Amino acid sequence: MFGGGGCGSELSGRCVTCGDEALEAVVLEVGGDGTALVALGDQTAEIDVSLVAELAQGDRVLIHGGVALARI
Amino acid sequence: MKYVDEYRDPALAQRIAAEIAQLSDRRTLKLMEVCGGHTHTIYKHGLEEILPRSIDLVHGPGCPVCVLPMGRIDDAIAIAEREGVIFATFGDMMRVPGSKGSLLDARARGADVRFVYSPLDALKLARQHPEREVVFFAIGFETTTPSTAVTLLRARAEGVRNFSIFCNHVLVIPAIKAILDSPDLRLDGFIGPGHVSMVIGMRPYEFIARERGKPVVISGFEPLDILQSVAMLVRQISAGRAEVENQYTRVVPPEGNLRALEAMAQTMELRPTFEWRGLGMIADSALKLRPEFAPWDAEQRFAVPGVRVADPSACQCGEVLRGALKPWECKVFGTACTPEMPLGTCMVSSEGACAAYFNYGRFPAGGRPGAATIELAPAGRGGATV
Repeated sequence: MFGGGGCGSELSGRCVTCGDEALEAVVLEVGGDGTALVALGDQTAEIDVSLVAELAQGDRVLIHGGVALARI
Repeated sequence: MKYVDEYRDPALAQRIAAEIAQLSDRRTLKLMEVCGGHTHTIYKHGLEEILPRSIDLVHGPGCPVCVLPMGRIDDAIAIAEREGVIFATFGDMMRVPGSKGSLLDARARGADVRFVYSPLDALKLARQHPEREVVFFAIGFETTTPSTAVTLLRARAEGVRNFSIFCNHVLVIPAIKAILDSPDLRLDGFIGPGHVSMVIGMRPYEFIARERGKPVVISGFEPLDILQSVAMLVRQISAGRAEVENQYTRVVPPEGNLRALEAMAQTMELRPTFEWRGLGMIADSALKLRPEFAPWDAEQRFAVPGVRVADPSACQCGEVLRGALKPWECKVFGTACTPEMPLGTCMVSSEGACAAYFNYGRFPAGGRPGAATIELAPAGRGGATV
């Protein structure tokens, strides 16, 4: 899902998913199957958006473990 | 990333610190930050050096890697070493030592252990390898649990049968209750976890204020978020109030994320009891899969040793996780236990209090950590900005 290998601590100095802290991403494209393509730092990722209200391109979301948990 | 500078303004930080100093009136206040993400911010940005000496920040058990007992690591390795299994895990879990080594050691012995960023990636592996059994090592508090729940719902909807979850999800509220009941710790208030609260909302914390008389402020993760939360706590204490307040209103709705809570309730239920590293057995503190998800429950599908394993005698992670000991006070800190060769879990994860102290160089020869400098810029190794 995310590029690169190893633990993804390069973005914030902490592990992307191991800590109980979500990361901010920007929606690039909303899919029709409960997924969206987002920009996370200089990477892109496909995430699940089934737990948040309808999103549009440009929305900022907090994601954790590949799932959007809040629109901010 | 946008909107970061406004949360790292040194002049504003000084003004907030001055207000905290005035309100605390030199009375020592012990405030626990429950979340490992907050611990990380505190040491990355040197917040203890900005705060008056009267504020004693105590690090809580909110690092999900750190609270997992060694016996569960041994169980994970037992599953990973089964013939035909692909064992998928978050990166930090690879190096956590069990009684007979780590998952990384198991991989070196030939187990197929793979690093993923999401349980959905593990489900994708299961689709790609229908001839293999893919098991995801699910750990974490309520921030992480929704991703496991969503993955389980997808696995069931798609009928993916070669996929299962080794569930180790834990709950933050029982851990706080255990800390409040701990005889060796007197706390004056709590900095509440921001992203757990984004899921569970504000209401679960109300007993802490109402029944235990301790204020709680749910906080964001930027340096000024945490300083403002400390100020809000000190204002409450100074005024004789004990309430649940929300500093992180830009993210945390009072009711939490109802869809996430529903997904969790659909897929998981309380375990009667669960072992926490440093805190022992805590009733109703962890989740297991509901019986209807048994086909995706690794503990139902594979035999695991299920043995409780004592921590190495030199390791004092337990005291650190209860906030009874500062990391640098542990007798093996920085010597027998380093991030490269961790003895205890607190030194493994970047969210762990010991690793945060070690990586940002904030441990002195004695006494309070850190040099007397004020900085909101990241310090030490791993100093990339958000």
